Amino acid sequence: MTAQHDKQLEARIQAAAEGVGIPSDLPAAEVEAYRRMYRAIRQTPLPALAPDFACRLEQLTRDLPEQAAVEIWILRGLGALLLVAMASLAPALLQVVAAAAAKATLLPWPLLLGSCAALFFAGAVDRIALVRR
Amino acid sequence: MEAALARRPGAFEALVRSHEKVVWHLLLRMVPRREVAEELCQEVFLKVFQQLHRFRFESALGTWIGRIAFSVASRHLRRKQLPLVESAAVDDDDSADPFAQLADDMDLQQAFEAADDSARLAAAIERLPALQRAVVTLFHLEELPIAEIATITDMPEGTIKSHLFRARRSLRHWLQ
Repeated sequence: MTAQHDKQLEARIQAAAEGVGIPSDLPAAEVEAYRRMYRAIRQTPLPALAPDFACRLEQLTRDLPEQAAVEIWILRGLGALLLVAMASLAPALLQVVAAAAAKATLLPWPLLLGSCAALFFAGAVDRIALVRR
Repeated sequence: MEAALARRPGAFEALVRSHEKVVWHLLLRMVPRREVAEELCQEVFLKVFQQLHRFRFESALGTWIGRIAFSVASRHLRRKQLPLVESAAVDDDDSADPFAQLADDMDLQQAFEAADDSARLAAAIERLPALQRAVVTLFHLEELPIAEIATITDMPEGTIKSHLFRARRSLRHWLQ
């Protein structure tokens, strides 16, 4: 008997055990053994879920929108505080920005741009060399 | 369901009550640690609550909830790097003797002999891969049809039948 034949026979025994009666061409003891096993799976007790689980879930879902509402209000408050802070600090910030802009005009821009171009060129050469290697 | 969507008091509790048993059994079988299964069960129903408005009546509500439960359990197993199905070597070998897989756990047979039938069965089921535990539970305990189990697990019916066959054969051999 081949493994495939064994497998088919086993599958028939399993299927027969799901129904009633025992086909005459199948081993009765095997069918009964599977039937006992199926019964045992149905009857083996599993630990029960906490009896108040559904009630706790209901409570939790009722609290969720309330919690979300609180969080939204906290975020709105923080946003408003940020706006007030920015508005009150605006004159000082403008002064800082103006000073930075004045300093920027003093920078040696041609030298900086030249250095950047040189770095970019060196990087490109390095990359091409890596690709060709 | 409409009542739950309208957030009427007690409606979601009723919805949970009518589906908690299947979800709990599925999670308990796939994730045998009770406290973890409890956490996941809560996660499943919170997801159900958040996504209920997306339910399109394409399947039964129980099947849709089962899908969420199965995906939550599968994601947990992936995160913990626990296999959902057995390794490919075992999976391909249909003629493998189930006892050969227990060679490094010889006291299991002794435990089987000493314990009563329920404990033996529980121990044997725990030896199955998570997916087979889920399939056996859904088919034999919850008495769901293969087509519904296929929808819940998002797998072809043939794959479910094959896992059910192998799970039952392994259990039969272990309990012999």
